[in-house]
Parts: sequence; C-alpha cells; structure tokens
Amino acid sequence: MNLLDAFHHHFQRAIGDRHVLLFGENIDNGSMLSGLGKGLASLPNATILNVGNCELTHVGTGMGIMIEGGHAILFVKQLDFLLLALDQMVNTLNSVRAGAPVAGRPLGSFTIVTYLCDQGYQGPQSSMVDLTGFASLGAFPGFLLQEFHQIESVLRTQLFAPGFRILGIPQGISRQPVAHEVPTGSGDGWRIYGTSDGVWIVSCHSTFAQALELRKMLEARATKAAILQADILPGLSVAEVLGSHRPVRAAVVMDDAKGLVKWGDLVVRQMALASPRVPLFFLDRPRNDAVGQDQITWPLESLADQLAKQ
Amino acid sequence: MNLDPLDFRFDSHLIVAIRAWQHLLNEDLKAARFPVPVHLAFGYEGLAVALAGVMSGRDRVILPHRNVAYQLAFLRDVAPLAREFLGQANGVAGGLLGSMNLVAPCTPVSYTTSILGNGLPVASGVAMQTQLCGDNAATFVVIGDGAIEEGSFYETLVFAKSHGLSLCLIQENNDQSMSSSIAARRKTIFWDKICEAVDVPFFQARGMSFDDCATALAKARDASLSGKTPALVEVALYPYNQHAGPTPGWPGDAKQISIQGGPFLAPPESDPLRSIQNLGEDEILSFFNAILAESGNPPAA
Repeated sequence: MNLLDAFHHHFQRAIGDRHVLLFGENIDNGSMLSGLGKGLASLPNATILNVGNCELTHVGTGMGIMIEGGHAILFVKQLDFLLLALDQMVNTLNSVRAGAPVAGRPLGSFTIVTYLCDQGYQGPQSSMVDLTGFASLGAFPGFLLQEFHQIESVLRTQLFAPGFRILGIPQGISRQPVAHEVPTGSGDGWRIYGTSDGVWIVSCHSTFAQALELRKMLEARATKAAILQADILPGLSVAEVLGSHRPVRAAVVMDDAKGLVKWGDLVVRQMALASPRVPLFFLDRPRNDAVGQDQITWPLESLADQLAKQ
Repeated sequence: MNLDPLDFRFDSHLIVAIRAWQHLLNEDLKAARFPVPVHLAFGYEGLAVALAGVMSGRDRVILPHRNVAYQLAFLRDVAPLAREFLGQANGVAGGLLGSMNLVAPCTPVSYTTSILGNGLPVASGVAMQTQLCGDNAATFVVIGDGAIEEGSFYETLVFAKSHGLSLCLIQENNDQSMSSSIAARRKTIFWDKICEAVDVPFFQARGMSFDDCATALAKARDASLSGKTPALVEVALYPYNQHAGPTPGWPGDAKQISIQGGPFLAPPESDPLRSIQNLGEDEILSFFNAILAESGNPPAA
C-alpha cells in the first residue's frame, strides 16, 4: 500500500456516513487532483462540489461553513496555491477563534488536504515545502501525513474536530510504500516509534523517512534510538514529551521545511532550555532552492557515528 | 423615560434612536474613552434599519468594520455596545471583541471583518451552509465602495452564481475609502454591467430613504431566494462622519457633528431622518431628546 492509498483508506473510514462538504478543483473527474480525490464519490452522505479557480474564495467558504457549525474539507493540488488565501487562514481564523466562543455558537470544522511538492516535481515556483510557515502565521495545526498509523490517528481525530487545520501529503513519496511502524507511545500531536537507550530522533515536517533511515544506521552501531514524530501543533512541547520518556542522552532534530523558521527550531529551543546539557544536533535542508527533497544528501552516516558515541 | 423595544413602534423610531445613540458614542470618542477604534455611520441609519427589517427566519449577515449602525439596529440598545467598546466584561461580547470584529450573541451576525473584501468569501461559506442545511434563508454581506475593488468581489460573485447561493451583497457607496474618493483612486465601474455579465440581479437604493433601502433589499432577497442567485444592491450614502474616531476629528474639520445641534445633519438632502414620513420634525426631536435623557444628557436645541 502506498502513502496515497493509506490516506484514502483511512479517509473513507474517518468520514463514514457523516455529513460533510468535500470540495476542490476537479476532485471527482480527470486525474482527481493527482489522485487526491479518488474514491470520494462512494461516501454516502458527503456532498461533493467541483469548484472554479478561486482559492481565496475556497478557503473563505470553508471558514464560513465552519462558522455556521458545518463540516468542510477542501482538496488543493499543492500547498503554494494556498498562498492566495492566506488572508482567510490568518485574519479570518483569528477573528473566528476569538468570536465564536463569545457569540456562544458551536464551531464546525474546516480541513484542507493538500500535496506538498518539491523542486523537480512541479518546478521551482511550485515548491512551497513549508507547512510550518502557513501554520505559524495563523497559529493553527499542520500535519504531514507519512506513516500508516499516524495517518489513521490524524484523520480520525482531526477531520471533524472544531476548528481549522491543514493536512499535507508529501507528493514525492505519495506513490511509494507507506511507512508502517507501530507507535510505542502517542499523545496529542506526537508519536513515539521504538524504544531508546538514550538517543532520540525528533522528526519534524516531512523527515520521517530520513528518521527511519537514521534509526536503522544507529541499530547497526548497536545504539537503540527512538523516533519522536512531532506534528505542527500550537502548544506542543516536545521537551515535555521527552522529559517523561527518559533517559535522553542525545537528540537529533530533523526538519526539511524550506522556510527560514522551522518547527524544528522551536523544538531545539525547547530542548536546549529544558536540558541544556544534552547534546543536540539539528539537521535541516540545504539553503539551496535548486535542490529538491529527494536530492538532499542528509549526512546521516556521520551523524550516526557521532550519536553512537554519546 | 425607560425605553424598551415597544417604544420603537415604527422603524422611524429606531432610525432616530440610532442617530441619537451614535451621537452618544461620538461624544465618548471625543473624550477618548474607547481604547478601540470605532467607525461611526451617521447617515447609514435608514439602511441599517431596513436591513434589520428585511431579514427574517434564519437569514444571516456578514458585516464590515463600519458596523455600528447595524449592531444598534439588531441590539436596539447602545449601552451593551458602549460597554463593549470600553472593554468591559458586561459588554455585548464580554469586552473581548471591540468594534471592528464584533459578533454579538443573539443577533443574526455571523461574522464581522476589519479586512476589506475579507467577508465576501466567508459569506459564500455561510450561504453554502444554509443551502446544505436546506434552509430557505438568505445571507447578506455588507461591503463598501473600497472593498468592492478587491478581487474577492469578483470571485464571490462568480462562485455564488455558479453554486446557486442565495447571497445578497450590499455595497455601501459613500464615495469614500479612508479619505479618498472613487474618482481619486480608480475609474468608474458600471456595476450593472458587471452583474449583467454574470447574470446577477442588480438593484440600487438611496441611503437617505429608508423606504428605498427596504424596497431594494426586499427585492434582492426575493430574487436571491427564488432564483437561487446572488444579488447586488448598491446603496448611495453620504458619510457625515470621519472615517474613524470622533467627528469633528480635528480643529477646523469640515465635518461638523454636534449632539447639541439636534437630530438632523447637514447637508439635509442626504440625511435619512429627513425622509421620515410618519413622524414630524417635532416628534423626531422629542424622541431624540428622550433617548438623550435616558442616558442623562440634556436635550438638544
């Protein structure tokens, strides 16, 4: 099962027979947004709407439905298209979050599902590989779907939860076999994979595959490392999570977002403040716009050597 | 005199009350009592009362930053609004939302925005949810002649038409965006032709006439519901007050509003109070003074 199939599998189950508006451009015809919209027609109580090219209005429409207590899911071909709708994701959301409780009206839900493209897939202009940047501006949750159980958990808990969020699918790995790891622990916005004798790999944004690779390298060096996958969730303290899963002898934070400020930066800050004596390593993508995610050479071998010595 | 809703026997009473209440708010603004910016709407009273009267059932409305007249028309009281602007916990929204983003409980207001054009896409969603729920209700969205220049206007018009949304767009045309006139910032746009291009009913009204506004809004609502279509109503208004804050806003300000000067404003031809038919000038003055007296103010001349 590839990543996209896993998404469809869990999406169908999460929607079930609930009433929801599913909308987007060409979601039930043609390529169905490069496969994003596959199978939606089989959902019994979902209303499917193909819409024109007006992303600002798409997102505002979702916000309006949410304000009125309804549930809406917007499918978008790629994250960068949503730049046209930032006003809604920041200004409208700020106003709704403050206003809805005061007005005493129950808030519905609004979710955007989108691909994250990278250099090489759709060209340099369409390589807005930075869900953190969006989420940071609007202070809303963002989830990069990458692992079978994570996808199940996120879709089950988020699709109808009051409020707004973006679910991102890394397009570069969407047709590859989905990572299938059973979490050994989980909480709101985080999951732990494996057990650790002190070395932790904190996987941010869409670095789960690289985190798995690093863990494998460490195993080859007789070092048991656990992966902590951190969703972009306002208020999440990775330091607190790790604090309750001692020992922490060393940690590496990985983040492949393209923006200047990353979710991993926040994680590093939290950990440095909470455990200043723990050796901390940070791996992010090269500052080179001409390099796509699949072309990044992550220095995992040398890092594994260093971590194994900790 | 203690006013209650029964005292507003006619829409004209509410129009006069909103004028008086705005004077009270203007006095607070002059005294710099409010920590939040407030955009008054002298001259909009007839339109606000018309909208409140035309809306029914599960109709919803999305308001812009200049929403005071509408809030007063829905609330029928100024005290909870003034307390809100003061940031007090017993304000209409607990003192948390201020003026430009005020959504008061128990009103048909779904959303209020301080960003030009921002409310239009949201209004599409509100109208869409109404449609999904099977409600025979209209969604109104109020924008200004500045907001209508935003791309979201065109997007919303096409989106709402494409999906059969009963959405009534009200354009408050006061020929003023901040301090610029339409002529100072763009060419003339023929809204009737824009509407014709996307097969959307278009109506016009004079803001100084309550009857004009009520008729146009009712027609737009009917057309929108029966035709499952958006409709645009352009309302010509005269801005008697400054963009924000008190009026006059500075020494020598050409705009002059005075609570002591009574209910009527100059120029008279744009003042909705001048078009009230069922109350004489003395009755309007008397009711205006009654509102002032209720809040401990001396009568106007």
